[in-house]
Amino acid sequence: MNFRQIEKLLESYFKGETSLSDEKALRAFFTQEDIPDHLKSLKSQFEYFSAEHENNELDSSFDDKIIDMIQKNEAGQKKFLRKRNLYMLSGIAASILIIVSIFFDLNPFPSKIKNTLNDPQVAYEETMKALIYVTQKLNNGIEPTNKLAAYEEGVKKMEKIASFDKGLNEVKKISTFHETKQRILNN
Amino acid sequence: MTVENFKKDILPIKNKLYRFALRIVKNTVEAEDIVQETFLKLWAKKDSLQELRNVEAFAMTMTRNLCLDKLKAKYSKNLELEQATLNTTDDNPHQKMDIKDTLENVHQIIDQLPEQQRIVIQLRDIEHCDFDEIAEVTQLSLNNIRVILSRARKKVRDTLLKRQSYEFSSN
Repeated sequence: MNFRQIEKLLESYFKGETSLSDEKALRAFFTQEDIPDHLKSLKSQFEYFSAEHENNELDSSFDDKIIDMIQKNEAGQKKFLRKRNLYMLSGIAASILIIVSIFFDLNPFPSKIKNTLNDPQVAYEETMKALIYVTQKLNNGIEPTNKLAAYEEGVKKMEKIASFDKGLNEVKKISTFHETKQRILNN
Repeated sequence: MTVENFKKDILPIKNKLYRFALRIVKNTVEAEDIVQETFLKLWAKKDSLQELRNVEAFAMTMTRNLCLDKLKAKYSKNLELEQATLNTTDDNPHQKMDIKDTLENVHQIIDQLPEQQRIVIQLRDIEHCDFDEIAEVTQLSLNNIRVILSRARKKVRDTLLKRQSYEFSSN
């Protein structure tokens, strides 16, 4: 590339109008040793750009640090997911169990009464037997309450205390009399 | 995306991201932290990365935002801190260097450009990004990018010229 072309490129470079390949050409040009004097001051500018592109790099220990950090992050994430999956699975299993037990009538609390009799006459007799049994038991239970009658009698006797109370009230009047007598004596 | 794919396809852009972050925050420790954070965020989005048209531009945008957040947090803390960081840059070897060390000279000139110019010249002249990518990262229009780029390039050229003529006249 001749100097005239370079000068033209430089002109558009400083206007911000060069393409990336133009700029590459400029940087390549300024790596040369023999630069015309009037362009020498620009050499360091372009040289700096080339050098800086390779400069200031982070070494592999930085990579290791980042990979280590994201692997730890990943492991934590997996653990969390595993735990969450477990919760979800147990929930699903419970729901399925409920639905299945509804469909197949798997009652976990089966009643002890079963329809074992087919003849209505036998069923009637059995029912009667059961009812009589219950009545008997009920009567047995009622008998001890007869003792309550005796208690009632006792309470009636206690009523006599009420008349004693009445007599006591009358005795109180004597104390009033006594008081009046005292007052008269004082006067 | 597996860890292996991530290592093979995404991790190699680390240097581009690092240089970019370094250009904005101008601090190697902070820049490395930011690149690390960028990768962790990328990993968190690993399932949607394949749908992206340009993962690199996406990562660069993330890095830029993290850098600007960091700078904002730093400067809003207090003025004293800002003063302190300015003082430390005064002491750093870039400033005390031999004027003949021209590459360091260019480095320093670019670092002192306004933030937008710094970002655009870094993306274009050092990382060779196309204009569409720069637009995506900076959220600027193509025209605007050209204007900013032109200003940045001219500023570097003119400052270099001034320093060199000073050097010649002092010799």
